[in-house]
Amino acid sequence: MIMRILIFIISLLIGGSNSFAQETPKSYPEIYGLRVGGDLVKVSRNFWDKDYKGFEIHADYRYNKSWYIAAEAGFEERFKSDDQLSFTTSGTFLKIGADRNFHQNWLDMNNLIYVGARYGLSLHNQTLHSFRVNTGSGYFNEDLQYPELKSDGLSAHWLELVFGIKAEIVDNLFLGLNVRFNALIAQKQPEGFENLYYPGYGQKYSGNIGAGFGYTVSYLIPMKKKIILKD
Amino acid sequence: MKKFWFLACMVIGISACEKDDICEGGTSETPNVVINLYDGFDTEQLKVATKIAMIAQGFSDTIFYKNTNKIEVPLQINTNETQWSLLLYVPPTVSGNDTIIKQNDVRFNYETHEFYVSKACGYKVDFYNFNANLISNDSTGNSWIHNISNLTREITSDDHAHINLYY
Repeated sequence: MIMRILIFIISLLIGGSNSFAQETPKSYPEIYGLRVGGDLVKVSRNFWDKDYKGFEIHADYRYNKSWYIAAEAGFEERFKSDDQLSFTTSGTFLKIGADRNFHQNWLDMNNLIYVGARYGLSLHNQTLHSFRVNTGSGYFNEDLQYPELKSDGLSAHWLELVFGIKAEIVDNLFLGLNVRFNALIAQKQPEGFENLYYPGYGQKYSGNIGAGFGYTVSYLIPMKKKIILKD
Repeated sequence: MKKFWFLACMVIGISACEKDDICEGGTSETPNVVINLYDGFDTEQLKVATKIAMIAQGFSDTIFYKNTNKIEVPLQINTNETQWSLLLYVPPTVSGNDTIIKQNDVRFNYETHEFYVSKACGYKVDFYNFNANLISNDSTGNSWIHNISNLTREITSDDHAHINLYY
């Protein structure tokens, strides 16, 4: 396992595919199949963040040499308490799109350095637990109000740009790292309030742009081998 | 490749901060009633008060204003009426005299409208059907306000005066 990662890193540093061309065998297999896995950040967060519940599973299917059809789905519930208000957002999300592998593998190695795009959709609800009217003066010591106002049937649509790597650490088992940029395109807001968190997208900031990252572990179910002949 | 890693580190660094938005105040806060102080005899002329104290009925804290021709009065957001006692400190004209304190009560009636502004600012209240009335206290002979005039029925910001007060 250490050896494989080392070779992968060395191959990255050398940066090419042809450096050792003399020793290339006549043919090698390209593995095609369905890779399934999950996000380690989201899962681990259930243990260290009491205000968070959630998971994300993902799958990708190799379409040809460079292209993979990819999707993620999951559930997230996030509680957040700020100076002026506290709320919980809860719901499911789905992302579908494609990844393009830009990494030229050595022979039978199967690593990815990819750029991908996704369409993201969340279906969620949001509960306003408490809020304070911003009075500035504070003369009357207005109390927090606790409406427990739940808004159902909320949704959001966004586009995502993904940069990531997936490294095969033992046969068919991959560790991955990815960063994502999100751009919100449409949403259904709660009445008299605002979507402040979207499952699968993350926290809402003042603009319509978001970012995030993930560590993934995934398993490749091989389906067919394509023998590549070296000339 | 180096650029990719640089970008990746940048993004992780930025997203780890989780910097929240900051409320900038101003029109995103619940407004106060802005009162301009005018000379009761020369009604075109703003008049500076040496010292004014304000206490809301049912409350004990006092707000002081010194050397100003403009005061701001907060309203209660969970009722439709707030009454304020406005106390004017009249400094001694001849040395040896005591400072005289004069008092008038002003009642504000209004309807509240509460709405969401933003995550950082939270909620705000605007006031509609606003009306201020000077409560007569002629019997005590302690009155300092000649008259007040309402300039608006809606209070949505602190930017300009809502009441002219003549004294």
